[in-house]
Amino acid sequence: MKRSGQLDSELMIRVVRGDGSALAELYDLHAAQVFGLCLRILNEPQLAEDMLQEVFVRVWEKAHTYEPGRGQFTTWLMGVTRNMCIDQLRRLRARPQAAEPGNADGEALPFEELLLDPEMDVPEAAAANEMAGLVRRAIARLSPEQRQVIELSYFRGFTRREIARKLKLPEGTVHTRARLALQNLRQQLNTQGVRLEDLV
Amino acid sequence: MNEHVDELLALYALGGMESGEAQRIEAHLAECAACRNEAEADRALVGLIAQSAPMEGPRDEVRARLMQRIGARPPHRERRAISLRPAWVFAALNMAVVVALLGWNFYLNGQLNTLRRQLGKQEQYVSVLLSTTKREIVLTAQDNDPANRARAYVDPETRSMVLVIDHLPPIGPDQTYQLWLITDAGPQPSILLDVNDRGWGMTTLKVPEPQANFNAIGVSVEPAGGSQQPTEVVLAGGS
Repeated sequence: MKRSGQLDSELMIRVVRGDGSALAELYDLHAAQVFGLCLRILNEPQLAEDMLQEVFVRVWEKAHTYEPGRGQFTTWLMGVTRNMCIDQLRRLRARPQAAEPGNADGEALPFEELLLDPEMDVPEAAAANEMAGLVRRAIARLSPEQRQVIELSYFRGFTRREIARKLKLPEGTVHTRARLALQNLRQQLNTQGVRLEDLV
Repeated sequence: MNEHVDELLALYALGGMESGEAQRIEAHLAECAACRNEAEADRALVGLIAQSAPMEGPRDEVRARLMQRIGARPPHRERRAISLRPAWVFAALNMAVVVALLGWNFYLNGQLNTLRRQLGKQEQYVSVLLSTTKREIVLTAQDNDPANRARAYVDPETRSMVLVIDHLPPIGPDQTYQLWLITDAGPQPSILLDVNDRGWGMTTLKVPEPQANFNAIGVSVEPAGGSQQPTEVVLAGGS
């Protein structure tokens, strides 16, 4: 059986050549993960499905920009997905009186309350993917402040200035929390035997 | 931006920097290997955060709509960007490349991000060429033409390779040069190579971990987009 990274690279070579069946195989391999991230960020199934389709159209059109030497395909794919979702989120926020997607009451959650609950955004279900489970558990062990900065920056698309202003913190503190969050996460994953250097 | 940016890299990797600041960081990363390595490590870690989102199965209609859309829209067929440099650089391979690239680094400082990214690649060349543990592999032409040649420099510690090729014959518009890493399991497909009109090209790549103990490397002519097995090997060599 081929390693998933090697299979991804081979499929991407075929995608660059215009082989639609290779894109279909990539979709079958990664759609659940991409859709999961879309749903996590956009929090609205219809928006997430639309975005899932746009992500794979982007893969089709920009496959030649993927450089295997710069990291794993999944890292590239999830980076593309995150950026497209955040762009969409920011467009929605910029609309007059727009609500955060998925908030039925039409109002965004109070900013300072996001992720202070240690159980929030760390679902126990869907642990089929062992790595995803490891990462979720590692995130759950971070301090609430460190989880909060990951949530606000990565999953909500807020910049350090916006985070600092709304949390009433100096920007330097936001940086420190982010740095400690990744440092602790790396340490915990290393303890679990995850070889991060293989992903670079 | 000359100061190190390591304090900013975590939030940068998490996508939390304003665009202007992010551009300044990228400019620094193009010049600073230490910060760039740290940024790459953070990027991989953040990639895992992305993959931690619970997997969800979309409806089948999404796949059908996607395939319908791409059927009506051919992909971009541009080959992967591999930097080309003037042929004179090859003439003084080691130090001239180092001096020239460092000079270019200085000259291009503050230019557009695309140019900064090229500079980052040049630093990789320099890093490999200056490595005291680098391994040199000379590739010779399979048709014994002494003009066609290539050299590869591999830093085993970072698995970085610099490949310089010269005097490769012209190929058709539907063909491409492709690099192969020959392992015990046979030839493994690697990157596609571009050469200029004089058959000269230079590129860098990171050898994947499973292929780190390759025995030899080769360059072949393949149909556009590359192949899974070599078709016509034109250069080959081993350590």
